[in-house]
Amino acid sequence: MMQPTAPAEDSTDVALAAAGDRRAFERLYNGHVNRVFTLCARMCGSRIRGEELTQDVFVRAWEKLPQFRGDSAFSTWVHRIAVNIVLTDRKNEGRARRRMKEDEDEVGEDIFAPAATPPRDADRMDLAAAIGNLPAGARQIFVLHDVEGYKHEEIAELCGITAGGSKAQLHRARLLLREALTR
Amino acid sequence: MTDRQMMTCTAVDSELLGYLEGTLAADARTAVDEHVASCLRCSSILRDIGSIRAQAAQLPELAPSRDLWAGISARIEPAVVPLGRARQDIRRSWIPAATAAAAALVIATAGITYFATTRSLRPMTQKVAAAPKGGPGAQGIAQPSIVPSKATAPPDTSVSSAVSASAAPTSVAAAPAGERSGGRAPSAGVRLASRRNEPAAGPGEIAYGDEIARLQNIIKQRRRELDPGTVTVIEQSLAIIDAAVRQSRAALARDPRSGFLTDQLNHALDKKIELLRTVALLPSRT
Repeated sequence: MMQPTAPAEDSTDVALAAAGDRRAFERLYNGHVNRVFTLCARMCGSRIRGEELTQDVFVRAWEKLPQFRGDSAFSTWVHRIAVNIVLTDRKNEGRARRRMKEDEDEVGEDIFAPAATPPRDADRMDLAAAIGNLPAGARQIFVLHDVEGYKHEEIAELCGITAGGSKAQLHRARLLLREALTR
Repeated sequence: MTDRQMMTCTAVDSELLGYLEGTLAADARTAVDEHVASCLRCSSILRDIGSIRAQAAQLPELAPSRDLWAGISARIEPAVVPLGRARQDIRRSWIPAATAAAAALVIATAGITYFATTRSLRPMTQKVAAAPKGGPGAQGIAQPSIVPSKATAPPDTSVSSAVSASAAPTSVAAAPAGERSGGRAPSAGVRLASRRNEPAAGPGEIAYGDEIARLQNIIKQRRRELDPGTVTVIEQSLAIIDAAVRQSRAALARDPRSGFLTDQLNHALDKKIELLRTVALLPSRT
């Protein structure tokens, strides 16, 4: 994936936060919340759910901070937590709902421009809204690969699928997006 | 017309994934390139997908519509006080010791219980008269229910007398007055748990110490009457419990406010008294 640039002050705040300093953790939160929220919202296709998941991500990060060894940048580490939280959320949600529809029909709830989101058969929509309308599986892999810069092997590991499966989902997502954007 | 020129749009579609991923063989890639160069549909697809990829990589960062920190803050240990690194190290350092102490207690308790039960149950059944349930006999060593039968009682009953005469009043005496009517003295009467901020050797522990000393004195007097194998096991078990007590005390000295460590120390001392009482009540070897 793309390596986000780590603010120099992160390492100090990470050490303080790992020792229980909540103010240091709040500074880390302020520095990374938008990136985490962006990932969560795009992956789950909903701003509202994205906000809830973002909170889960930072709570989990707080709990796991004492185990953070600093092998990677804090931003990379927290990003990985975010991906796992979103993927787990999708699995749990799926189990809970027993899915009334197949994945192929599942689309984001409030997309990214709720008031201005055109219906699917509209002539044209912007890319962000179109991503929100993708089926969940294709959307998550598109976001991870084409937006966040993860490699297929990384996605395969995160999602528990094969690299070939990741490529196929990505291709499908791109074609669906093209269709949505060129109508 | 060559084979490459024969490539159809459908064939290109099936190769498109590999083409975009760069995994196509050179020949196949060349064939796709040649087709795309002359096909409006396929070139359009490639151009659009390229545009989508470029736009996706440039999507702007989003921001939450509300402050999320308040919700996070409420969920992350509300009572946590900022801790320094040194304090964290201390907290980490007692965890293995406390775990070892707890494990040692379990081993010691299980061992002595098994040993005492298997080796002493038969004689006990001959000598112990059932105490009325809930009656005085239920109050631990304070009212020992050992009633040596006339047929099997050893001629010298001084140990039994010592148990009855000295232990009974002392354990009650060790308990606060308000708790004397409760159950077993060390568990109910001399608990240390309520003194979480005290150093390890607070008044509660001194009470434990008094009780332990009295019981040890009884056992010392009875030592010759007990089976040597039993004595060996008892000493091993006591050594394990003492080690657990020492570890708990040491950890508590570093972190005097730890409720967990206080409980661990209480538990270890309880176990020691429980073991000593069991030994004090063991029947003499026959």
